[in-house]
Amino acid sequence: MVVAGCDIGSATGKAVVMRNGTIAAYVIIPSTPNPEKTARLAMDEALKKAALSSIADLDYIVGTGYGRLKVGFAHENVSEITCHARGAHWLCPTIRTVLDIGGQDCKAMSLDEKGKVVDFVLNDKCAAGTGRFFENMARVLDCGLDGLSALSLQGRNPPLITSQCSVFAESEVVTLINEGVDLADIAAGIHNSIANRLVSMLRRVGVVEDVALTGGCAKNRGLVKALEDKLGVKVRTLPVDPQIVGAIGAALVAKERLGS
Amino acid sequence: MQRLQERCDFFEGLVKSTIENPPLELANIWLNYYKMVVKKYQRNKRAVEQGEPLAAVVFPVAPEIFAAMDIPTFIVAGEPLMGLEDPVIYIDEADRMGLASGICTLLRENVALVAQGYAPVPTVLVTTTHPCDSVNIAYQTIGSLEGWRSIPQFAVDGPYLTDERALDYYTDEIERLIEFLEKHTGRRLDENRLRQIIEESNKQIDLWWEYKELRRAVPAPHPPEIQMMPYFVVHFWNPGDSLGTVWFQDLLADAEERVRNKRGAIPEERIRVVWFDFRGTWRFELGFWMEQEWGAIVVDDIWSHCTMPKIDTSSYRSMIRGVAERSLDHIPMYRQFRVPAEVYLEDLVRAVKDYKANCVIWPGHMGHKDATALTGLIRDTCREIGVPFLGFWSDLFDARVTTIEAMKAEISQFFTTMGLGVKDKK
Repeated sequence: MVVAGCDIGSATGKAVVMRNGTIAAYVIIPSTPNPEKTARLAMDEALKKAALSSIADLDYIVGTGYGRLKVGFAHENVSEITCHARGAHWLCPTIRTVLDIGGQDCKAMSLDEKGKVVDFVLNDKCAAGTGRFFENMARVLDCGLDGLSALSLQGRNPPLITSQCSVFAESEVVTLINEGVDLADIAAGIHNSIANRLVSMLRRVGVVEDVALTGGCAKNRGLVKALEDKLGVKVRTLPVDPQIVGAIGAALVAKERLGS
Repeated sequence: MQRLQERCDFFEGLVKSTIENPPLELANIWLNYYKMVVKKYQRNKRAVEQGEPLAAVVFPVAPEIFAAMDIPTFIVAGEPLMGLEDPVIYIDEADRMGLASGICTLLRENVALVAQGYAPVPTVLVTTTHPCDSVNIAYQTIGSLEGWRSIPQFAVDGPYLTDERALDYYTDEIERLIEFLEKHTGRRLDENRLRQIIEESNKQIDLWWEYKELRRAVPAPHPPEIQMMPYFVVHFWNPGDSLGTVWFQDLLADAEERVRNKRGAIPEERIRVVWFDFRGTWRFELGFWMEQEWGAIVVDDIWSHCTMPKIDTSSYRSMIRGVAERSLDHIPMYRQFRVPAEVYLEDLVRAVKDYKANCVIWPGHMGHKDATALTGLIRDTCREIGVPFLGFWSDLFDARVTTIEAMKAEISQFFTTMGLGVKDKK
């Protein structure tokens, strides 16, 4: 049985092909302005990697992510909250709290022992605490996303950045640069500011260990550290790229739909 | 006067159309409800025509007293907009009057309507100092409108807590209200008439509690629009009127028949929602969609959630105290949002258990700032009792703030994620 999950986010498109319950292939590609095209490109590449010739070789496909309604070849669409929860729990059954930080939104979820979502909150109205915020700050500091993360880990005396709005935070960061504050400290301050916001979201659903981070921002080591410091708990490292957890969850839902 | 006539015409039109084209379900319940509304407005109209006393009341308070003194009331926090096609335009009018946008939209709309003559100029203006700041602002604004400034005004002061001392204080406030009404309307409170009103009202309360038991049935026998009517019959339109008792008997008979035959209000009930606030002016559109798309029915809200007690009619003081208790602790919103959070949370837990709800929705009304801090506590409480919770931000009286489409998207995502109702299939 071969199934697939396709997670179309604002920044990247992800596809996972699963054969008999194990990951056969996955891809992550940058999103195009057309979600349908992104889905098609991601899936074609994943099929190729899995040595499959066409979509017809897949028994069931589930779409997820903000562009899920545009995954024309999917048999079904499922919300990304469900998919991230399902994926995280499959990868690590002891996970009880998931924080998904995507390109344009973030979601905190609490799971029961079966991986069912029991509560969730999301921020999809504002860029604070999302990949877009970090992209913007990386641009202001002229260091790239990876550079921003690495820089933040070197910060020793992070300033307090009070604005969580990405527009106001940018003004605040520009002021700090002009005042000559060390860039590493500013980067650490940025991560602390966002971690504060994410922690308050997490507390709303209740922080129960194990805690996992999913989505592209989960690869930001500076953010992971800032969160761990503020939560006082260690974030569980997942055995796969955290960016594909939603697509894995979608593939698992596809597998369930086939009754196995 | 013209506005009152329009209001009478509007509800008489509803009576006529219900007789001519009765709905397939619950025709009698709707018809007799409309008749009660017509009776109320005819009484208002007669008072104005004949120069009899009429009280403008900002939010309901001690309606049994007004009924016993034969002083018709007009609730300015809600009645001016009733029957209007597009009251939202009056929000802009309120802005022009200088009312801050943070004031509850319901009150902003109605204050603007009062300023435009949509309320009869009364003999007295009565308000409460609770349950929210918006009521106080509305009262002060209305009381300073041209033509209203010289009207005698009275504010019934509501204490924060809900205990014996608070009730003693509020009972004294009701006594002061009676003195005020007697002084400025020339009407006297007759103890025997008050007893008659309360005894009739007590009969209705008995029936309401019975109805509440029937509402626990799965599937829910009646739609939310019917469930919330009892409060208005007991406390709003014509308190203590025997027409209301007959209406309750019909309601109960219909509910009994439905429960016996397992006939639900909607064809395929799959989700039972406790919506623990008021339901917005957009409730019909959203509610219909929830029912059709998800098989989701609202089984309880704060209008429908009956806690109202019977009143001891053994003495004058016991009656006044009973009236005070009902008004202070059992009017929706006064009960939940005036006091410490425990009352709301206990009611919520009871509602979830009694009505076997699968989930709780909290619409986060912009005007209920006094309740906004509850959101986290509601979430925690729902988690403790294992029922999924959805909270969002809205304006119950202006669907432009959070659009119906946005609410549908939130609710769909919630139902899907929590595994309630059908899946998000294409």
